[in-house]
Amino acid sequence: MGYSPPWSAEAQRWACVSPEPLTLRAWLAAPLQWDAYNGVPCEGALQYAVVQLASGVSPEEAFAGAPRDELVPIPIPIADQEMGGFTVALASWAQPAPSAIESTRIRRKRARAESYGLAKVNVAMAEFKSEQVPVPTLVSAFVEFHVVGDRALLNELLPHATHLGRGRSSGHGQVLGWEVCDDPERRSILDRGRLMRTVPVSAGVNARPGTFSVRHATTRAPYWHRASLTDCMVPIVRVL
Amino acid sequence: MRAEALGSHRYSCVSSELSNALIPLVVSERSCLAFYRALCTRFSVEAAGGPDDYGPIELWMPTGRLRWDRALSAIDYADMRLVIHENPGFLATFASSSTRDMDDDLLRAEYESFDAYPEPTKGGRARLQLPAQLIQPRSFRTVWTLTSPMAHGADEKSGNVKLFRRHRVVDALTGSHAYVPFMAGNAVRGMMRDMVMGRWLGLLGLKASDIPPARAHALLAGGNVEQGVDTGNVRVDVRKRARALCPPWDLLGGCTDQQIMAGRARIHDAVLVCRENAWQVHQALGVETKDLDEWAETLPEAAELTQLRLGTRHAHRELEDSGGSQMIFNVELLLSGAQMVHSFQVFSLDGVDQVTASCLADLLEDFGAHGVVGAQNARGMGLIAFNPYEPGPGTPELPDPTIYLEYVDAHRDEMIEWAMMRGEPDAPARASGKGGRGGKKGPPPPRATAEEQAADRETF
Repeated sequence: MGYSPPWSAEAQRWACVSPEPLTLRAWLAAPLQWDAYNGVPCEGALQYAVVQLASGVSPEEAFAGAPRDELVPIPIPIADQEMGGFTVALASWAQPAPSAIESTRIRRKRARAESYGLAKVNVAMAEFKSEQVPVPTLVSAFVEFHVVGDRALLNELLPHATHLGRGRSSGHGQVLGWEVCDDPERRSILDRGRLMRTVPVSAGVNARPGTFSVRHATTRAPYWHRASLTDCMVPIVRVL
Repeated sequence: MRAEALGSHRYSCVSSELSNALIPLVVSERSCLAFYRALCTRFSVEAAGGPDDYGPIELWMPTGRLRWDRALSAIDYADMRLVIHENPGFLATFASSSTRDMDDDLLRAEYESFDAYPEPTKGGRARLQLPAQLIQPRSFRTVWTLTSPMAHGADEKSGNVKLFRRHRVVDALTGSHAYVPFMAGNAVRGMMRDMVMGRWLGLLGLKASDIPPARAHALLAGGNVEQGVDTGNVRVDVRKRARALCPPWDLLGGCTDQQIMAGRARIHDAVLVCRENAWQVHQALGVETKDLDEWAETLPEAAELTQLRLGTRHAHRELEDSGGSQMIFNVELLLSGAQMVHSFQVFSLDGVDQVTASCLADLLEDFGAHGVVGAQNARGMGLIAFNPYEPGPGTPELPDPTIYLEYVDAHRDEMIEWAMMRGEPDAPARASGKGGRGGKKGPPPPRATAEEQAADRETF
């Protein structure tokens, strides 16, 4: 029997009931943190919202006490599919708008040295170090996710999905608003032969060569968790 | 450019001076002609030719020569801005290559090296189909109106010019790109952090310098992760105590007592009201999507909303032993009267403690009373006027600030104890015993026991 957090029953209401192929278009009000190696999936943002709504606290506190080696399933209104022995969400990585371009944003952190009651504060190193960290970003009017999901539940949950990617607290990836549209072409895994998300190699997806690389990667959110680590076909993301 | 006009030192450093000067010049001027005039003036060049020159400046190309005024007439100034912002050093490298000693073959080879570059493309300038209605995340927003010019430093230095911070944006109405001034959400967050923490300490009768430096650093700058600390060791008791005893901490989060904690507030960039951003800000200004195109035409371009201001630092050589040096500098400022839309989110307001939400209301009152953003406030920059932040569709109102003030009053002694505490007594262990430059000396503290971990789960 796996670990079950106290709020899991509350979270269960967000599980996908009536799946249909959809496109979620997130209009962005701020650049998205983007490393061009791993794409930006939407499942993490939806899981973050579900955990906060179900538990009332942030995810790192909601999972306090959970065994680290166990991946706790968090239901979201997106359908899953078994592929090559792994559970994979039917949701593509973020697809930038045609006019998108990669850029850089400097993140600054400045120590308030005069307020620390010390005779000498070294802001160049150690605990009071001030920082200017360049972060790669994507400038795009919107990004699209092609999913198979529950339209009614997504309409209810998306107002709580406020940001995509990293750097949320300072506004990176801020979502101006969401659109939910039909996706008759069902592009959650493949779009005209182009791979749209990470899938296990063992699934044998017939993607067009050149649209993916093969490497170790994880197959489901939370993607940092090693429980789903395996040999994967990973899309190659290029912004032209 | 002539060495006699510039002086030998400037002439020897002309490529770096040119590289530093290009961005300030392109943002301070409004047309190709004005840019070219300013560039020529800076480097003592007579565009029309002078007594010591051969004649008007000409552009030399493999196919022939072209006079400067005709060459400029073919350039779109918006494109020029974009190219110069991308890489002024690239342009300066070619512009400062001396061709005087090259023979024709070498010169031709240099021009032909351009063939190695792909053809420039403008790509993707298609208008995007804007939605009539969006599912909007819940947020609070207002419109800042600058009542004095505003400074907010750029990421890179440009000689003695401090430029305004810009980022690249896509104009959804035209599909084109532009570099547009903005104020980073991180900067607004830092300013709000200073205000709300200073006010909290003030209510407790403390100053930041009264409390342990590590705590002050955490409160005012977000803290730091000590080297070797196991950040995966979540101590709910430590976190709950911090959130309960310091509502501003619950609001903004950071790292203290070896716990990295998320704040409730997400502070966004301040978005300039300009033509390029019209599609993003129209709703905040009460303009309907159907009227967007017409309204956007009435807005100025972002490039029209800044200006350079010259400043001087005097050497005061009349004073005995004055060691100062005379210095001039330029600062790029956002014009007084410009507007910016600012918003933030509290996630999730339903799950946020009323005291924390009330603390946010108190902060916003304080912010409204101070009404200052950006840098150089001591020189009078960054004064703003704004209406109170309004909750967007579906966003509940914030509670009254008195809830927070009464709470602080009721828990004053515990709060002071927490603020003065030098780390939690039973702080979690490090992942390894490594002591780095930033790590504490001495043996690592004991790990949380299995009973304590079980207690965490029960108290949750």
